[in-house]
Amino acid sequence: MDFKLTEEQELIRKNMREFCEKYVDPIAAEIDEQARFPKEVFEKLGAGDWMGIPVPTKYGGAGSSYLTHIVAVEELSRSCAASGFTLSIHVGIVEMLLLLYGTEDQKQKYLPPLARGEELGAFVLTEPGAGTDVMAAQTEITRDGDDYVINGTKTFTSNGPNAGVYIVFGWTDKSAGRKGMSAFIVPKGTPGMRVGEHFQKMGIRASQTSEMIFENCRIPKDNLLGKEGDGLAIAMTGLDHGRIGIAAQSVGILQAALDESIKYSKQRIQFGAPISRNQAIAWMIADMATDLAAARFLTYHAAWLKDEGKPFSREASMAKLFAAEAAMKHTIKAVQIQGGYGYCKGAKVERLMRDAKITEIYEGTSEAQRMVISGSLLR
Amino acid sequence: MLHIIACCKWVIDEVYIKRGRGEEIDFSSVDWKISDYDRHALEEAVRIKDSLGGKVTVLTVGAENAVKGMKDMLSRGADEGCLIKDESFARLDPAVTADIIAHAVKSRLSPYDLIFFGDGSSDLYARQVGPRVAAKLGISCLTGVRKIAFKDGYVEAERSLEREIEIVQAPLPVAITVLPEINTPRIPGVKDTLLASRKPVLNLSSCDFPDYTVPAVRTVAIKAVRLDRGCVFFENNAGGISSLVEELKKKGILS
Amino acid sequence: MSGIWISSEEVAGVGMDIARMRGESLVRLVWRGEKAHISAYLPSLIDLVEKEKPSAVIFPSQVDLNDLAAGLASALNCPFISGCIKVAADETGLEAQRHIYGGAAVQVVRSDAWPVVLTLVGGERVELEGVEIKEVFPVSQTAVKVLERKVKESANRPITEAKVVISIGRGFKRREDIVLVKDLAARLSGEIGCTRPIASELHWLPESVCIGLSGVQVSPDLYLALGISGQVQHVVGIRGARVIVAVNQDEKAPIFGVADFGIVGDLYNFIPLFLEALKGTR
Ligand SMILES: Cc1cc2nc3c(=O)[nH]c(=O)nc-3n(C[C@H](O)[C@H](O)[C@H](O)COP(=O)(O)OP(=O)(O)OC[C@H]3O[C@@H](n4cnc5c(N)ncnc54)[C@H](O)[C@@H]3O)c2cc1C
Ligand SMILES: Cc1cc2nc3c(=O)[nH]c(=O)nc-3n(C[C@H](O)[C@H](O)[C@H](O)COP(=O)(O)OP(=O)(O)OC[C@H]3O[C@@H](n4cnc5c(N)ncnc54)[C@H](O)[C@@H]3O)c2cc1C
Repeated sequence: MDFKLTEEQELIRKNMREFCEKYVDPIAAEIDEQARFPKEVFEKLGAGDWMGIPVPTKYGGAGSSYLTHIVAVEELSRSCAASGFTLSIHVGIVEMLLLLYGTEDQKQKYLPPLARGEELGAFVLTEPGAGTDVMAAQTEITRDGDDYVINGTKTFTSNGPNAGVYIVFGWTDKSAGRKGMSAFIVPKGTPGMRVGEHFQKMGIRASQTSEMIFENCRIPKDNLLGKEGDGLAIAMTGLDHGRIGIAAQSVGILQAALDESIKYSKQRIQFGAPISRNQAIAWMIADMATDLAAARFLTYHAAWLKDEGKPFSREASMAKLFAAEAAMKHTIKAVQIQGGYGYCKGAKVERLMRDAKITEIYEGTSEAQRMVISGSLLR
Repeated sequence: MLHIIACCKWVIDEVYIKRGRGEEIDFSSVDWKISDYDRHALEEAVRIKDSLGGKVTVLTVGAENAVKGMKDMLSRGADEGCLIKDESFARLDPAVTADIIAHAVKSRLSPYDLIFFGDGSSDLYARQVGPRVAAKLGISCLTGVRKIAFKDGYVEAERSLEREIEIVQAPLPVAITVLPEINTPRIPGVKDTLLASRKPVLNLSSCDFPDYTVPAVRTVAIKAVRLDRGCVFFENNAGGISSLVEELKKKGILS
Repeated sequence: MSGIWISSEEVAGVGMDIARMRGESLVRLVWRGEKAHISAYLPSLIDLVEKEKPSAVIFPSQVDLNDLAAGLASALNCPFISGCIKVAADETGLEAQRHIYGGAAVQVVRSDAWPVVLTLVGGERVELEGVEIKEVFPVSQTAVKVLERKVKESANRPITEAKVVISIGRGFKRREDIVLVKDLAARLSGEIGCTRPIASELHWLPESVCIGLSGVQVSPDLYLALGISGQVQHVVGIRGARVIVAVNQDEKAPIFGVADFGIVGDLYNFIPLFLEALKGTR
């Protein structure tokens, strides 16, 4: 057993913390309020090799492990959960899928600009009628000579309005059931693909979410990711990786909630003493710290399994389920600890609570995680 | 081709210093960092190398855990390291640290053109190592430097004194202790950190140095300062306020 | 070996204590000549010390004098305790206290060998009469040449760099009353800061000087909080201050929980009394 990060990983975490203190903390409240994507932050993250940590150096990445990326997502989320999520989906889903399923040509072409942060990645799966029930998708992708043509409407696409590379899922053969979906790489600006409605969200407001509309969107067959019929498996593999990132995002949120709670409760004086002296408050903090530790271990363990080449799908779901629910539960407590101040705009815990909610929803709701976990146990 | 040496100390991050029982410090959960001003020293060395060409050697003297410190230092643009570590080097008097550095520079890192130090370390803030190393090496030392330029083989430096700015010129080689306003240190990228462990490091230990006489200065206690500052009250009248002014004088704030 | 040498009257207090304890006489150094780079004084100081063998040489903790102290200690290969906040001599040697870890802790050190070199932070100034004097002359040739000297400006610095911050809160009744603080700031070469309500609600001062959670964090040597309740969002911004003085008429105001010195009372009475008391200081 070894519960230690490497020295390099610890230094990388520290550097990300410093990066956040310098570039993210000062704007986190403002980009939330204005629902603005912090382009300038991601340019700097790209320059510092943060946008492709597990991508091999020959594809422009840093050539480190998935766990290192997870640590970076956690630390960034501690300052801005929206940015942490953007990093997670960009690396954890889009880059990982290109690495795992891309041809050599596709990797050479798409990975370097993604890893350098010049382009953002998007994962385009959910549809208005197909959320948890992925199989209810309507998007059709038909072969036409050397091309494929995509028709359909996708929704809730993170980075939809500002991505450079989209991985889009749809039916190439609906009759083939679970083997009937395929995945395609669609670069921005491809005729027939356009951004639909932009969503106004409760939390992670600095991440852009939109509909993506495909009308006779024509792409060459070279853009097929993996084989025809692999789509569902690719989507699930992407989500397995992505969920560890969402778990890390939740851990970051939870850490921030704990930091805020400790700081505030020791300084807020009521009845002549800091409120932390009340057991009712102290125990909230104890529970928060305990769940944080558990969530972090589950998350790192899932990432470690991934790096070791072992199966990790169930562990990724467990980590995401536990960390997300802990983040939600305890950010509510964190607001409680700050009373009326915590309920007002400008208090960080207010943002943390809104941001935490999404972790229980996207990349598979908590219910969906329980389905994955129980399914793998009761098979 | 300049050879620039930057001296960095690996220190306990003071934000982790907590008060244990009584006046004890609770060192149980401390983290370590490169001493703040030393990061500016290293950054300045690397910037000069980048503009004038040459090589930067980052040097540290410390205990076993300085190995991690060396990685951190190497990730900030230095070309190679000189790691002087020994368990007995955990809490050195600045005079001994200076002797060790001077010996290492003379015997292993010469020739050199510039030696950078932070003006004081984040832990001890003794402000002795730079001037003492310079004295041992018989070179000039410019302390409190907030700006540097090169002209005709000379260094021109702006020193920040208590009430004035002094602009001085010195020949190479020279030792320089820097203030944080001299630059903004970089935040290493992921690759910088990963590649750091591949850079060459000269490892030295106590057997590479003569026996330095045990310093006559001994630390007999380290006491935590209370965070709640134990407010001392004064009356809001002439007597009370002049006592307040006296206290401020004792703290060195008024004179 | 005899004599306790002080570089100026600023450190006479400690010098006298040590001299008394050891039954030695106090000697004050006098620095002659045109002011060159400080290294110009080192050779003659070393000569003088080697010849006369004082037990201690004491300087105020200032950039140049610290250089001189380090150079001297290095030449004599003797102990040098820098940045002392307290020094006491006893039968065998002396014990000094100094701040470490950015002020989070105090280090107590002992030296049982003489001579010893000391630099003092905020030493006690004593006017001396009839004390023996030794002159130190600069050498004419130094490797380091001074090209120029400029007096530092003290006004309009960013508040984060100010050594003294006088900060105002809603205890102030009228905008015009800020004039009172301006006098005080001028007197202390300080900058004026404020709480959020003063900047964001009342617009009496710019947002750039609002201190706290949503403002800037400051770490001056002196933070004087006038009419500030000390809510947590404000005090997170002043943790780094070396000395915090709070004036508030409410004795239960949380600001006193984080202050070094407190005055329970009306700030409008405090300001003129404080200005008066500052008259004897520099
Ligand atoms: C901000 C945001 C960003 C997103 N980013 C992306 C993205 O980048 N790419 C992408 O493809 N998608 C994205 N999504 C979509 C997200 O993954 C889906 O919202 C999620 O999968 C849930 O789908 P749904 O919203 O349609 O809810 P539904 O599937 O309609 O679920 C509604 C409720 O019913 C429950 N439920 C559904 N089925 C079952 C069942 N069988 N048993 C028990 N309970 C069930 C759910 O758990 C949930 O509580 C994003 C969503 C949001 C809000
Ligand atoms: C999310 C959030 C972020 C915030 N960020 C900041 C921030 O960055 N900075 C900040 O300062 N605040 C911030 N606040 C506001 C903070 O909570 C306090 O409301 C504010 O600091 C109070 O300012 P004050 O001390 O000037 O006013 P008050 O709390 O009204 O205090 C005035 C004090 O003056 C005293 N007083 C009155 N008359 C006199 C007199 N004649 N002589 C002496 N004393 C007198 C009173 O006893 C009282 O203690 C934030 C609040 C929230 C919710």
